[in-house]
Amino acid sequence: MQIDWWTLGLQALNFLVLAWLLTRFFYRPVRRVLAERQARAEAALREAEAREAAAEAERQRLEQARADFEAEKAEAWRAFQERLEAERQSTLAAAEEKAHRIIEKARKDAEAERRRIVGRARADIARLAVTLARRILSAEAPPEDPARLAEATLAALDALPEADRHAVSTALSRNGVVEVTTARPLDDAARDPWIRGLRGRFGPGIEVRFSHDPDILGGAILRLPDAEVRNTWSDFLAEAEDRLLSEAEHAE
Amino acid sequence: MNPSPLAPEILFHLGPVPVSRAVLTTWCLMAVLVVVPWAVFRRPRVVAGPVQGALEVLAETIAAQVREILGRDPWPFMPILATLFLFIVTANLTAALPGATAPTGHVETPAALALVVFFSVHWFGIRDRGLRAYLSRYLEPTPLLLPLNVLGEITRTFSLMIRLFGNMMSHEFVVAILLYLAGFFLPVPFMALGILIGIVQAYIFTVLAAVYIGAGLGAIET
Repeated sequence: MQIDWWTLGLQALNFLVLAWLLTRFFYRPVRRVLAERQARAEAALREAEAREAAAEAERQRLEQARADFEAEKAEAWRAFQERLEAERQSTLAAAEEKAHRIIEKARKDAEAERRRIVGRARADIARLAVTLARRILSAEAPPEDPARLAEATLAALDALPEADRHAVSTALSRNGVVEVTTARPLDDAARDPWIRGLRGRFGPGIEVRFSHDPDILGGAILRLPDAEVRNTWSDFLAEAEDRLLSEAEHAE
Repeated sequence: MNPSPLAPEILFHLGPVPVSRAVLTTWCLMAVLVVVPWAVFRRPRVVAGPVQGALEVLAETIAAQVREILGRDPWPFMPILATLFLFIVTANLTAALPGATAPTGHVETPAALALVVFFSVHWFGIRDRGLRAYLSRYLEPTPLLLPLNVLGEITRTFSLMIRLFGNMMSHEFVVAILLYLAGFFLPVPFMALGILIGIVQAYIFTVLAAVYIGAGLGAIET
């Protein structure tokens, strides 16, 4: 076996040249690309870590802001509740005060009105009492004198409408009984004005009967067929009582 | 008298320098091995395309293998070790091309590569450890072993050369004999086997070179 030293030397040289060329055009570019890729990856990683840190900081800031907001909201809600309660108390007190004033005013007004009405009623009653007294003292009340009593009662009979008096006359023509009721029994002298007055008006044929009823207190009741003329103290007092009660009810 | 099949085939002369077929083939391989990465990495992209990605994977795989052997940053050793692997692989695979012969099938090319490895071991060792410390390793474990250590340096370089040369030369011979005896199709499986052998031999040569360099660095006990 022979060795060509030129070939051996050329191949060694070729290899060294190839190693140099590949270092220049292959290994170094590969290393640069890998380094750049790694640098980019590390940069991206750092950026991601920075973003994560920023996001974490932002999250913590938002958490703090949310906590602050919650506290502020709670404080505002508490203040609002307190203000609302104070306003409610104030409004309630004002309403109560106003209601109290209204009630007091109404009570005073009602009291004043009541007093005014009572006063007016008293005045009315006083006037009525005076009127009644005046009537008692005047000729309107049934007189105690039998002659005057008969005259006043028969005058009331005369004051009836013509149709009524005609009906009374017609009835007396069929049943000629007239009953005179007084509070106390009448003697003959006291009966005479009645008999004369009635027979003078309805004829001498009529019968006049007399009775007494203590309940009528005074005055007389003239009972005719289908009619009755009352001129008694009991009726007078009953009328006065009705008018007083009416005034009292009106006053209430 | 027929020329020896082991003798280099001189194609032409450049002045006094004879240019053999192995040298010419090597130049072609060099052109391919340089042009492809130059074209790809002329404008490298961070987001690699398929070819750039394949080249990056290739370089990173070799670097990872070297890192495993040496236990340190592989890139200072890549110009020698990665170039060894790439050149031997492509040189061995040229045997599968019609009309081409593998440069590694002639003794000059494996010898040149073994010499490069021999001097690289000393270069890296002295640069890393210093001359005294590096030379002191020949006196270990005892100065009495200095002749054997020196002889070991020579013989392992010689074995590196002979292993590659023997395998590739014998493969060429086997394929040539089968082609002569059995015709065209029978050598095809052997040629396919030759591809595997070429890759394995390149791997073995590179790994052994890395181991020798690692021993020179003191990173590996041989």
